[in-house]
Amino acid sequence: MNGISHKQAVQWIYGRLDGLLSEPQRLLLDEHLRSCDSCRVYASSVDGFSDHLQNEFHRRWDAQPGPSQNVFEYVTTGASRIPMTNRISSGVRLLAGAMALIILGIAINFVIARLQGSSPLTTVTEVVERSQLPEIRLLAFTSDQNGNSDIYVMHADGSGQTNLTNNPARDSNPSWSPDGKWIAFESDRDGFVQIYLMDANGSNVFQLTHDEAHHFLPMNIHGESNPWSPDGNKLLFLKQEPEAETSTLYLLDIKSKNVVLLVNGTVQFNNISWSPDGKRIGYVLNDSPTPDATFVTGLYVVDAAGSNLIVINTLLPQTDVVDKPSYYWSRNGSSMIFIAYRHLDEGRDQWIAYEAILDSNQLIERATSSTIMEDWWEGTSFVHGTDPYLLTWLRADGAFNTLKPLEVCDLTVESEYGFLARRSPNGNQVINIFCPNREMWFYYASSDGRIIKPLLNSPIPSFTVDMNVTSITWSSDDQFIAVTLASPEKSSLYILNVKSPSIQPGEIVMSSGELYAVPSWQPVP
Amino acid sequence: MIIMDYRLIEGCRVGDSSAVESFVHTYQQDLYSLALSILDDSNEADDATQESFLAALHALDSFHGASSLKTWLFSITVNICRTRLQKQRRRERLRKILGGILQAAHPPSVEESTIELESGEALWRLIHQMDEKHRIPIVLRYYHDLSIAEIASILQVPEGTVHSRLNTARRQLHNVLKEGNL
Repeated sequence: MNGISHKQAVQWIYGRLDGLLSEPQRLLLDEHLRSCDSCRVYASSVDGFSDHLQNEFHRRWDAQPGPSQNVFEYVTTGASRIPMTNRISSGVRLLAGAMALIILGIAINFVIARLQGSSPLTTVTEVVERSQLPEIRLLAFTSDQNGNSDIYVMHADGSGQTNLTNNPARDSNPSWSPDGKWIAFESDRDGFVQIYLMDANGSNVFQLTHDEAHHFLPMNIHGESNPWSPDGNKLLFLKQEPEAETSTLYLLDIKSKNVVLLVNGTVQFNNISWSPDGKRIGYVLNDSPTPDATFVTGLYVVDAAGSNLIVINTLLPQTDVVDKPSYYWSRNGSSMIFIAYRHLDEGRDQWIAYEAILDSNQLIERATSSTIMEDWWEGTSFVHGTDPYLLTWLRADGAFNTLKPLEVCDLTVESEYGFLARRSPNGNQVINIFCPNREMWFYYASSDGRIIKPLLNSPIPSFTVDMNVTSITWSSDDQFIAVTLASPEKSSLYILNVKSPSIQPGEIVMSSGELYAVPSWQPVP
Repeated sequence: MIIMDYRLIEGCRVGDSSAVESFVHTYQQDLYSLALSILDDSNEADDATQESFLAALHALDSFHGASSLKTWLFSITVNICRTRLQKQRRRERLRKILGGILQAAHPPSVEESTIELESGEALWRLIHQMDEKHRIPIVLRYYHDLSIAEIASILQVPEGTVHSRLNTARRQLHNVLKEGNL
């Protein structure tokens, strides 16, 4: 008798019925059934029973004529009232919410007024205004359209553009604090590039760095500044001495002004980002012995005290190298996910999704692909299909969805296209497709690829010169995407609305030259 | 297919009547067939189908595509059918209690009628007696041919729970069939 017991065989007979057995389990069961008469009889009886049950169900219900015509008429008639009743009920909910806030505001203010002897009116207004914050979220961005680089804010629909800095110096690279109340930015108003803070309307400007050196806010994996610790108490910045070729990564405690040196690196620092739990900072360095000629990705993690450095590359087997300078944090920040490339014999190369468990310095192989793997997110591999013109989201259970960029471009012949994919911190993706005819499209894909939808009804108008996509920035609730494009003759900003893809985004010209600046979304409270 | 579903949903959200018609046309047979297989009564299935569509159209904003549209609709329909089954059973209990008090014969319920019509079919008697926890997975698996993962998603329980409920139900039904030499 081979490997499994009779009891196990009986359990697996039912597991096989439900498609729950792995291939080795199926083989073991088959082997057992070949050598065990009673189990084989039982399996045959169970299979026969399943067929009988299916036949019984179909015999009983398939003969039924189907839904009556009343169903169609009742639903289509009733449905016409739904948008109106939904609007009314949302209105009622909104009104009830506003009333509750006002009452709460009055109550709180009454207590404060009793304690401080002040008028309650101002606080009530503030409470109501705060309740509207999700609808009035702002995008901060850099523009030199007025002849000087300043920081502007505007609403997600492009309205209400306001210059917050209005300073003759070069102000750039804004980044909202996690509570949406402050903006960190760079400015050379004292002769060096320094880091400043201002509040959401441009007032209360504080200079945070003072050394006679240049200071920059770091850029993260999405091309978005990510200097803020998740609790909003600390800021990361890079310091570069004048004429120096290296920069150093520091962490500044905003309240105490204490500065911690995290890493002495090179100017080729890349993808510096906080872990979601605020305990660690990840970054990429060029590990190449000949940095001018090649970029060899080195992945590193250091804790917020500047200690416990983890060199992720050293955890890899010798056959593997980090494939690209990108990584993701797990949602709780305890691990980091990245793609490695394994060169085997001709035609047998592999791409592997690794999860590095940071507390134990352990690598777990999450998925392997024989075609290029762009990334991996919670069980879904985003790969190039066996057909290189097919983008594929392959889930752990083998189910998959695909997107054919050439179909998007309305081309039937195979031709060169380009694409760029950017994940939001929640895992959803925007896929930017550049067609051979120079049209540019944007698609949304849910984190597991089950939903793929266009974000535009027509392509973003092409330009007389080639445009580079310089950043794609998701809002924190995945509702909006800010895209910047730059060329030697023009740099523009577009906002894509994930909920209303049919709206063609308007163009906001940031510069009449090539401006590489990254916008920042105000977090939704 | 996914993009088509998305456009259909967007149309329904804004009250586009042709989108609603297309939505109902696309899914009414599936939903009716599901309701019929759970309730085993064509009038009840009609009502449950109507109720499911209206509930889905009201709740479209909460559909975020975590599952397929069909799975989401099945989930709504199963919940509506469960509520209807519970009401049926409450009515049945009440009728039995009243019948006992009045010591009068009561007219058979729809379920009992069905059973009587097919008396001798121990299999169907057992299926009707089964609680919904075991009956619904069996129907979803063997009539609608859904995978364990799909059933788990519809019932919002772990896959292991679905497998275990199916096993319990299958063993009971299998024994009945064996006893009847089927």
